[in-house]
Amino acid sequence: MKVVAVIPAFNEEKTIFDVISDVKKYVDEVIVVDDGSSDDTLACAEKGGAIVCSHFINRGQGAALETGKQVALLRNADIIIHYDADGQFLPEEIKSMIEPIVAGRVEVVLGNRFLKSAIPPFKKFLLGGGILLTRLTSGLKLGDTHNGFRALSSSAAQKIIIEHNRMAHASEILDKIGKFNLRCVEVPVTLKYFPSAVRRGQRFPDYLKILFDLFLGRMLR
Amino acid sequence: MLIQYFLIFLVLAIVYRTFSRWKQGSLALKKFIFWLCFWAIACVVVLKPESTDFVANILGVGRGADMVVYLSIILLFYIVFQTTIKIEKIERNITKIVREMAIQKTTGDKQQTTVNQQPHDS
Repeated sequence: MKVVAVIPAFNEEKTIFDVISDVKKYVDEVIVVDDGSSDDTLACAEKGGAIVCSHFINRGQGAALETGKQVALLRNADIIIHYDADGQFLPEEIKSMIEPIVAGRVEVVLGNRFLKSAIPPFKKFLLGGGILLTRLTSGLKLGDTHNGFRALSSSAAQKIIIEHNRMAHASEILDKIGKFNLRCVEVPVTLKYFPSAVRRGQRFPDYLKILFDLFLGRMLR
Repeated sequence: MLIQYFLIFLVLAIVYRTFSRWKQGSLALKKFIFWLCFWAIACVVVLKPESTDFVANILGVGRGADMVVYLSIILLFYIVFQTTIKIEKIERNITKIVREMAIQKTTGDKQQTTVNQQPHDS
């Protein structure tokens, strides 16, 4: 089975090289989607040995994931991993993320950080809102709804077309898992909450923006 | 009142613009007539504000002028909403273009290497 990691990157020149070298050990190919970075992300990713796909203007993480997925499918990927460029995830956990798909039990594997790491309390409260909303909209009973660590079989990836450019894509993916009745499972993952990641993480206004984006998305149909 | 002269002048200017757009052919006759009627009513409202009181009374609003304000706010909300949706659609279309270009460049490079390999093979 060909395992391909898709890493959206926006101004990640400091971490992207190391992330690619770490991830490469556990997958067959790494695709980095440089999302219109103004720094040296593109060159660093190429140096790291990834297949680099470049948005010439910034389109957001959701858009970058969809682009990466399409490239991965063109390259005949069997399993697609969504992975973050900032080094918050542990690459060795890719093994346990793909195992349920390799075994043929499920089509989608979602990382769940609550099963393992300590989360700042306010963050936990915000994420709790997301969990409740997901249960209402998609019918999925998940413990962690906004985790960027995912593994999808190629058939699931073909069905889940991400239309939300920005952060609302996380909810969108879950909605579509529910909509297409894809079998999915949560696997515990470790999330490193180092200071730079916390600073750049989602804040309360960002969550309001996500809600608004989701509402807009519904109006578009 | 001075405001009336100002508003009438504004309406006439807009009607002139609409007229020239119709003449140029960038505005359909139906739409031109619609806007002409709209601005004609606007002129009546500006010159005789009490004329709206009749409609306002039916709707249960005290004064015609208040009703115009209420309706305008509703209309503005609607327009803002429509515009937001339109922008989101445009955003998504931009993404499609950017994505297409990005994928073409990535897979195009691959094709180029196979093309380069061909003379080497033969």
